[in-house]
Amino acid sequence: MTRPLGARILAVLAAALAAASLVSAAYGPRPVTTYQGAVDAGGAAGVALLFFSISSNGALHLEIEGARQAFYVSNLTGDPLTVLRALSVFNIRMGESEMTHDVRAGLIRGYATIEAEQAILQALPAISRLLHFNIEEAPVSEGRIVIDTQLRAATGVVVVVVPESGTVIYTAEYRLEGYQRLSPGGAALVSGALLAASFAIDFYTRRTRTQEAFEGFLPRKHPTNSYVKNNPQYY
Amino acid sequence: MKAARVIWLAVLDGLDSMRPPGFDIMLLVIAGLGGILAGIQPLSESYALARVVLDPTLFTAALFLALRGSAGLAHTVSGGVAQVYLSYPVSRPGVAAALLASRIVAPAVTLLAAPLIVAGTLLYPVAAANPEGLAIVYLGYLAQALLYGFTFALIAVASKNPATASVASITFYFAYNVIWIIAQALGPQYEALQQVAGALYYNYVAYRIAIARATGAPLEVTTLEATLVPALAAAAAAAFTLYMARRFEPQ
Repeated sequence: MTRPLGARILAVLAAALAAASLVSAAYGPRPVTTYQGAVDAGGAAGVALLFFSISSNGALHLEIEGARQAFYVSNLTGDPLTVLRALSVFNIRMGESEMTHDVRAGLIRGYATIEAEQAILQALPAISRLLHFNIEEAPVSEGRIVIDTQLRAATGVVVVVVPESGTVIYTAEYRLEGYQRLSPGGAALVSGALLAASFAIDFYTRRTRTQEAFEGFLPRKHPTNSYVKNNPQYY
Repeated sequence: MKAARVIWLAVLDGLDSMRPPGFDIMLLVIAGLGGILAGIQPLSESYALARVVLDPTLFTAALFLALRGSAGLAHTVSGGVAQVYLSYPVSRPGVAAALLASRIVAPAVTLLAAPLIVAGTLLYPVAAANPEGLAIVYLGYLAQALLYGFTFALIAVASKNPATASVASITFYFAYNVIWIIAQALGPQYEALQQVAGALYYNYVAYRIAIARATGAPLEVTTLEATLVPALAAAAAAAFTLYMARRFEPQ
């Protein structure tokens, strides 16, 4: 006998919820993610660091060492590479670049070396006003820059660093905010309730094989008059 | 009374179109994997949650509609079950409506809702914070699936052959997607094509509507974007009903 559709759907939902809960308990988002890295600028004039949130809200704490000067644009929306593309008009080009997608933090992060005249890099804040986004200069003390910014879903921050020597070292800490998930215990409870409902539907709509063989698809509560007349033994 | 008979016919055929084990296997896999997909990343907006879950589901739902919906419908025609349906005391437009409901609407609604229910339960604070965004994006994906499904149904009754119906339906799905790529590629040169390309996927239009409503940003949706897919879906459903009512001859 085929189980009723509603009972099957509820059982499937129960199993799927249990599986999803278990997997996300093991591999779910990390509340705090730390990145450390060093970018070798080579002969390039600058290094751009990029942190773009795909889906999460959180606080980004960024520390950069080895910088002579830094510019940053926060609350960047749309394609994170838009800024760098727009800047190509001013002969500011992107050299070597690398982007990584960290699913568990909900971030795309990466770096790109910037090839441009030093003089043009100095004029970035002025240039940015022409391009309708706001590049600010970050205060640098003894080669160190600290930037604290809030990331919202689909916004990002780009920091352009003019290196003191060849290498830029960065440490970033991204702290998720406002993220909450059903606990594994809660998921087990909901799954159990769905499963119980599934069995209840199954049990209360169950018909005997004899009934089913004789009635076919006809519902028990509304048999035709002629059927009742011809099969009185079932009623 | 007439409506009750149409609903009864839809239930009867729906028990065939959503029969186990195929439907159950697909539902289990898309609901489980959809939930996992939402569970492993830090989603904090309900519309983003809906998009993450439904993007891969739409493809699978379209394949189900092409195989169990379209090919299944053609099978009822070639196997003689459609004659039995048409012999019921239900008008032909009534039979057409019942078949659309059982073969297309009910599977599409269930297949798209199941992973969203699992993900929404798992991330209940996100879903509860903005249920409207979840519903808008869901309806967008549903409209897109119904456009595919209604066209598949038309293909099925016109071809009357299960193999032809499934191949032709999947070809239509492929063509629709590639036409979007072509329109997108030629878009910069032709303004009209760019507008059509933007309107071909109602799910993304709905996503933009949901973002605008949640963030209070200005809503930038053209009339074409808001109406093209629902109009095409309604046209396909109307063509199916007209064909069933006036032209259809069961073999």
